[in-house]
Amino acid sequence: MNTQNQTGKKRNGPDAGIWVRMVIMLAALGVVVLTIRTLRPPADTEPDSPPAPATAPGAEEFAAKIEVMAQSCAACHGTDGALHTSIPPLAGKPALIMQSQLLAFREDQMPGATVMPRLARGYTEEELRALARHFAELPPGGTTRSTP
Amino acid sequence: MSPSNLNRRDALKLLGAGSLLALGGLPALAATRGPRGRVVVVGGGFGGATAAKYLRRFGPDLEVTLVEPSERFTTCPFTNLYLAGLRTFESLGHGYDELRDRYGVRVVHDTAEDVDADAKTLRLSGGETLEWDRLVLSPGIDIRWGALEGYDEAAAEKAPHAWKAGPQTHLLKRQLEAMEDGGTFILVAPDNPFRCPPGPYERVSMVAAYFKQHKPRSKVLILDAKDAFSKQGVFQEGWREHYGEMIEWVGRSADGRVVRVDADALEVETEFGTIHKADVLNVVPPQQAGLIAHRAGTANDSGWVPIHPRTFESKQVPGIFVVGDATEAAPMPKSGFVANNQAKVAARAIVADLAGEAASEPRWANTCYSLIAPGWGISVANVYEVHDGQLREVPGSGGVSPAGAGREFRRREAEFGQGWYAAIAQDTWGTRPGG
Repeated sequence: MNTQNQTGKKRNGPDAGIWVRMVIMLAALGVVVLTIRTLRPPADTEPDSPPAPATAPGAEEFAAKIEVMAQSCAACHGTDGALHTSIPPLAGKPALIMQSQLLAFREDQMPGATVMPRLARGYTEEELRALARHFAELPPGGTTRSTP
Repeated sequence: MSPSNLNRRDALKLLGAGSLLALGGLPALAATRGPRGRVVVVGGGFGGATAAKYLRRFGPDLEVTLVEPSERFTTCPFTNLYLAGLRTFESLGHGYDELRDRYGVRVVHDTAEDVDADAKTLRLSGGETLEWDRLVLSPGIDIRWGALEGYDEAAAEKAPHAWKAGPQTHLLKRQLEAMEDGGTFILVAPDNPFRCPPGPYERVSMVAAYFKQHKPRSKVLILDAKDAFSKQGVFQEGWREHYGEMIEWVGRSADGRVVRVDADALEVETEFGTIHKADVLNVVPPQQAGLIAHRAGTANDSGWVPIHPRTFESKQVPGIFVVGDATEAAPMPKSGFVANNQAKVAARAIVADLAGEAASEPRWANTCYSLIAPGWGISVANVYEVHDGQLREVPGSGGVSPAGAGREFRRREAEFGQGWYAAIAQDTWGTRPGG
């Protein structure tokens, strides 16, 4: 039966699953790093690089769009992506790793992934890269600190 | 208290709470502060509480007042887990301390009585009148009493809807606990649109989980006004896997549409005259936008609120923004996640509007987890955009958990469902996990 095969394929042991995911993630990271190095100015690849200059046409509009878009993620990852639950936080993680993961989700290259491929396909590659930079710049655990 | 005092005090509070970068997001926004103005938000659920918080995040100089009758809001999401004995009712309640203390929102526990859109005022039941420059309504749903013959407020005391968290939820749980083993639980499911499309099907799953453990000879029957429902394939797969023949679903074309309820006899009659007798009868009735949306003149003949999709400003009353279940926002579902996302887009649009700027191009996400059995979860996820002035799913995005994905996949989605609840409660009300 088809479903049986599918089930069998997805049901790797937890250890195997983690290794497969790590290898694919590292491979994807390599591809993304190479792609970014060849296609984009180096300044843009740094997680804490300054935002694109406001003089670039549409840059402010794009930044405003990303700012609102990023707030969507909070409904699963906590405000500013800083909450630790069964769902991992995003705040303060290296931009390059998040970019490679988001692009791998979008291309369905993350075995065992659940909702993220379905969500990542709702954004362009440029938007996903910008979202990764947005969360990389936020303080980790920012919203889990005790309030005054 | 003058507005400028309020703003200065709250600004200091915000500075104390963390860096402006963390609270305001964009450094550019924080540096320029933002427009001044008074925004009143009605409703302290997923939509309203999120709107109040994000109005202050995007517009730190705004005076924001939240009007909500309850001091503690209990979410509809996860009340099905309470019915199954998997969550306490108390763990689904959320207060407003963070909105008040950290975000400087004025929280008024009162009921919104009437809106004067010309004078830009909101009258409260307690007698106070609030003035606003922009108004946000997030009133959720009201039951359309009598729209289903025989189903009025008195009937709901015998055949609960339990579609708003509170006394109705407790009533249904007591009835399930009092039912004899071997009894029949009937759920009457409405036609679209209604709050929480997968909700009725998660409800029967959780009732079946309770029966399987405590009353294994009992039956679950769903009488549905529709021929298809949210995540249908993976729901039915999970029902077979966990409950065998216990759950039976009857769609509209198999005479599943209920046209009359007799709450005293716990009987329902379908379109073609079949009478079904229940031991516990749960009627999810037809719904409409909450009352204040009608009073404000924002609802149309459908009972729901048409909105401008880019901003969620009312199409009928300028200056009033409506978010959440009350809106006509198909293909977005009426879900807590969507209400939270709509509120953020509306909050940003209001700040832009008050600053005389154009709202940015919005995108909304939705992820709805449903629990079929302990450790067996499924999900639907989508991203939405505005295209040619209409809301639509981003082509190629979205979808339901795959069929036949296996135990490990379902277990992880059950876990992520728990994580989702913790995260959205933190993002909306500031509730700390486990705290």
